[in-house]
Amino acid sequence: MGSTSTKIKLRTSDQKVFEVEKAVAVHVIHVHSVSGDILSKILDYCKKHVNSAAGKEDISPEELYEWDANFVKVDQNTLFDLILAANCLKIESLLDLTCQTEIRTTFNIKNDYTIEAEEAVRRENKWAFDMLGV
Amino acid sequence: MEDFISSLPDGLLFHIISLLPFESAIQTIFLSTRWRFLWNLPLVQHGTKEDVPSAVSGFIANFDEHNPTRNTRRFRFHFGEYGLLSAILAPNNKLHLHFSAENMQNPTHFSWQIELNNPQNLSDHQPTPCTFFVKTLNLTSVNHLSSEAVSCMVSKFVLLENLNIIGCHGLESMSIDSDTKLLSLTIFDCPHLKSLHIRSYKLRTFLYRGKFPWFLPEFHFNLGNAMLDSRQGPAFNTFKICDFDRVLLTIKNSEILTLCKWTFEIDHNSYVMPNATKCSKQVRRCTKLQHLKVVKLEGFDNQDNEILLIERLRDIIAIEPLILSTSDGICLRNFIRVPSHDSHHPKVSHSLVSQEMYSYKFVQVKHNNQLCPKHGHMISS
Repeated sequence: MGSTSTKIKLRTSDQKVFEVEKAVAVHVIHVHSVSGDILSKILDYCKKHVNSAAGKEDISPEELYEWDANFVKVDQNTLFDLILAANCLKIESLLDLTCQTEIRTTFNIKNDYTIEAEEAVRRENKWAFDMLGV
Repeated sequence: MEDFISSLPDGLLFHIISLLPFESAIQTIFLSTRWRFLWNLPLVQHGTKEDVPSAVSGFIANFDEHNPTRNTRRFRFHFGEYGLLSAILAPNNKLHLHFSAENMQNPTHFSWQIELNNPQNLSDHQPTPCTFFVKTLNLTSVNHLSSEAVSCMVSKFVLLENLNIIGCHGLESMSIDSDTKLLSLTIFDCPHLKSLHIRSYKLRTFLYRGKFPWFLPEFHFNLGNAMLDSRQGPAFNTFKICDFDRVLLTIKNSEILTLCKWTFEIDHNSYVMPNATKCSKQVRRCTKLQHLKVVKLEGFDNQDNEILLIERLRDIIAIEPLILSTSDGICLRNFIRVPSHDSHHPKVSHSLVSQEMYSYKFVQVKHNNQLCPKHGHMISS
């Protein structure tokens, strides 16, 4: 287990090179199908979530939820690229977020969930998401 | 453009999304609050207590993931005066059977026998689809009225591998009989359980939480993963050390072992163990704890008791393991032995005095998540 100052390098499809902290980039990555702009957005997302989970950033769950909502306020093409990249990089939470947004945009569904309500729904339906244990 | 899709009636909307594979379809509950109740739509039936097994079999047999008109995973069966069974078919061949919990204050006590995986049970019936379907079964709040129906149902689940029994008030004695397939058994929070008889060859995982019953494991099974959480103590007063022997035989080779609140008197004949509040160990293929790697002590009131336990552990350990201690579950302290040749003994508040001339100190650990990998019991249930 390395310390958080270990950096790894990512090279994108348009030959840009990014250096990121290992804690932010969790998996071995093949980024040759992801462009520089998209990767930069994804790194913002990962950094934000990792930092808030580790307590390095003082942000409440509601604020993070709002940050996520703003994060996906992009044009259709960018959103689509984010979905592909999140799928390729296996970032579950980003994939869920972007797919939900895509569907909401397509059908013009307004998201009226608060973070508490969403957590409650997740708990109510634990049987559907709970892969291990009781 | 208006949001037309959300204004479709429930049934129609459910029909549409159930054309998707389940893992994708279930995500639609997060789209907006309108979508959250779609998956709550149950199939509802009424009947008598005796009808319960056939109703559940029928529900399982009728379920078809790929057919939107038969893709209902929830089932509510009303029986008797107040009885309600809620069943859910979860992914990975998992069935939840949740009975309504009534009269928890003064439940009628009952004995329960479950016989599993016995092909002879099928000889008088044609095997139904549900026979081969259920691999994991969660039973909640079974009581004296429903236990027979459940036993009857469960006897037909020939491929059942994981059985979880939770919150059964009034359950006094339990006998589980599975020659072949049962791999994992969990029993949580059955407050009246006094006696437990398990007959099994293949059982590898056993998790128990509640007052410790008289426990008879029949046949010898080697548990790879065991948790015995009896913070509330034993279930009856005449508990003796030898009652543990059979249990200890089953757990001695476990890879993951959690023992909670084991309180012993000093017994000159067999084991000498001090008070323990919680002791969680990671063990690798061993007998007599030869290869104990990490010991984590949690919830001790004072350090003297911790020191005492560690010294006793030393009697049965070959190599000094990493010893961590925490009082609040968050800050870990690493326990280091410092040889000390002066006559200063650590303060001991009872008659057992440390035989060795050591003093001890605790060193705060900074990067505690680096030290020991989390094992299965640390995932909260």
